[in-house]
Amino acid sequence: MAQRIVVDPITRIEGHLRIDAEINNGFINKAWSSGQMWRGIETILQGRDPRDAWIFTQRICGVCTTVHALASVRCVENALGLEIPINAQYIRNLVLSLHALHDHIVHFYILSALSADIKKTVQLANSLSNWPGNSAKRFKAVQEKVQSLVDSGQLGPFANGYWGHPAMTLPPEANLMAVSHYLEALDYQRKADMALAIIAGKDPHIQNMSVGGVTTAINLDNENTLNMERLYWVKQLVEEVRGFIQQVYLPDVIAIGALYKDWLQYGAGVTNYLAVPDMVLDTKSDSFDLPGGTIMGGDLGTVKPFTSFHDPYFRDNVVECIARSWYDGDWTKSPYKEDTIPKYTDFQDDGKYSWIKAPRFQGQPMQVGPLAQVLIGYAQGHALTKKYVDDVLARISSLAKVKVGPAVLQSTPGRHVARAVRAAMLADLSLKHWDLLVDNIGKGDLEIFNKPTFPKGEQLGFGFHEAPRGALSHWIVIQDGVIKNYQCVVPSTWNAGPRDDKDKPGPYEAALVGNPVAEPEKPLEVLRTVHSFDPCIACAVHMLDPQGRELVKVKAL
Amino acid sequence: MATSSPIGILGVGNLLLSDEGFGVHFIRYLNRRYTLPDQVAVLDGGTSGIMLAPFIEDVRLLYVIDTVAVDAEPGSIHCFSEDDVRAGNIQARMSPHQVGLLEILDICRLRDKAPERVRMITVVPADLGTGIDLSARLRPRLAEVMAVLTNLLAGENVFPQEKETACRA
Repeated sequence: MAQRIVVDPITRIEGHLRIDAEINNGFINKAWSSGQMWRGIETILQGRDPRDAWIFTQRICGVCTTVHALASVRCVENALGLEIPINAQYIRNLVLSLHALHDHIVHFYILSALSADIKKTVQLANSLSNWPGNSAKRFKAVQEKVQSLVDSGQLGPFANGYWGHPAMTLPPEANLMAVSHYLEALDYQRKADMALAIIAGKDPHIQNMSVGGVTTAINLDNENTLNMERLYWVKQLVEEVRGFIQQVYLPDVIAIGALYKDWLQYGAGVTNYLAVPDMVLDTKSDSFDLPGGTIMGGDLGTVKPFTSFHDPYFRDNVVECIARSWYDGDWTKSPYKEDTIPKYTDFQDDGKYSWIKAPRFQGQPMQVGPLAQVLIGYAQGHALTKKYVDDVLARISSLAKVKVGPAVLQSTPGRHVARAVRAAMLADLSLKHWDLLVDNIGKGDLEIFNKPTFPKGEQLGFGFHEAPRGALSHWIVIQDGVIKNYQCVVPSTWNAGPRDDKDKPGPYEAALVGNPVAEPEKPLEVLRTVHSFDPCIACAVHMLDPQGRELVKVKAL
Repeated sequence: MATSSPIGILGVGNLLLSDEGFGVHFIRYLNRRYTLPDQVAVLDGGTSGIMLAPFIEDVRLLYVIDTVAVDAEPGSIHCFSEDDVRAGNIQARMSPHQVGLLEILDICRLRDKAPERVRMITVVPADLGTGIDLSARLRPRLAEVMAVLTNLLAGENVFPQEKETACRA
């Protein structure tokens, strides 16, 4: 007998992401991903000055404020054909890499445990890394704290974690190690955040973007601007964060990849991948330290790059489809030409069932995120990507005692591995771009801004950014200097979007099919696969809700 | 920059969804009209979750300004302590992945860095539609919430000073 489970909502905030899954003989055979809230925020921008858009778009999401500022100024610059000074590129690169480090670190540490043997935990941790936090004293203290939380009956952050679930197969020692590192991770998240605030004024909601560059004044003789003292402070913080990633985050992900090796066969889903190039190296935005492009059908041989911020291969192939979304019509259109007219029906399995639109590239659903970026870099022979991926795979192979290649990355645990690889690359690259910035300032170049001018008539522009959850693009139509149309195609729209007019499922939906579900009342496996994408559909509402909402509904079909 | 402030005032909410942004509007109102002594830190937290932990860990006493979903008159003001919220089973979290305020406080406590006391001053929204302004119903609540906060701060011997040349926007 088939059963249907409804996980609603799957993210922090009420009514945002609902997952329906049909289970047959212990495996999911069909799934639906539904955004439960309307994102009509772009309409606020119509009629406004394009130079102001980034201030508003930063408020779309609570997790990724910075990324929408960056994509927004880039789309306006693209519309105007405006180059920006190299200092501004480097400063933006520092901003985006620091934001991503902050984000990746905090989103990994979600595991925990209660019954670990301290000695075995120390052994396990020391076999993975010589991190000073891997001591018996530290692990014992963490275990006692977690135990007192359990004794108090308030599980807090570990409630709803389905502890003791049959699919929860990590040994207790790995769990204790992860909890200990979870608590330490916040210190390193804070360091990345502090470095970001030194450069960008404040965080959340950075203050230093501008169409045409940045507003981070550089004056080595002024204590109120970016000067060497502040730059060295940033460098020191980034080096500490890099240490944590190298010695804690990467080894933990390697351990979990090896311990969950049975899961490396589940959760691939849509194996078309899309990532955009970032960490810009020139004023025209034609060369990059992080490659982007596409891979189709899981075949690394099909890789095709996006070569610049103006590449028509991106611009002319991205569309969104509303055939299964709660909007008026059933069109498929370029974001430039879209409208956003809500038309709610109820949840219809074979009709409309989501507020999220379905983005497509050459008619295909695409998976975005660190996995896409890492695979696309690997397929292009990008040296830094190859270095980390090959190292991580060798260490997983050695721990799991079975040889694994890049193919295993296309899985639920693979997304976590790719996120850690990306964090390691970004830590290296933020130090590189720090050097580039300081070298350039040393040459006497203090330029940070080129003034934009808005001609009469209509201009179209797109701007992208490889954000922590994947490819983000903003699309703008400017008419006589004001915004006529504005659309954001966000990473979680690519991944969490519904089916399209050809009934092709989106990446969340496809990734769930074939997953085992041991206990339908506690669909840990559904959460595991969806969470590997790092969902942020929770973008938007932040209200205290006095009614603890039911997480899971199960019904027999 | 890394100094510890004994008292923190944190406004949270989404600026693009009308009254949902009340906490953010309040922080702007406060910054525009009042000066506070150095031991008080003020933050527009937007809709951030765990990212707010560094701010929360630095304070001994935390005031959170937010909206609340209770069955009461839109515009009514409701104050909660952390215990009230826990007893009433107010949950702002829905999964092991995304964390809300109570979970952040738990995590901070596990790290021995939680504030000693938390007070939430919340209002019931009237309009959650797309828009960047407060509804007419909630606009007057900014001053009323300020009065509530001023009272609470007085108990801590902290007195906000009204700016002489405040912009009365």
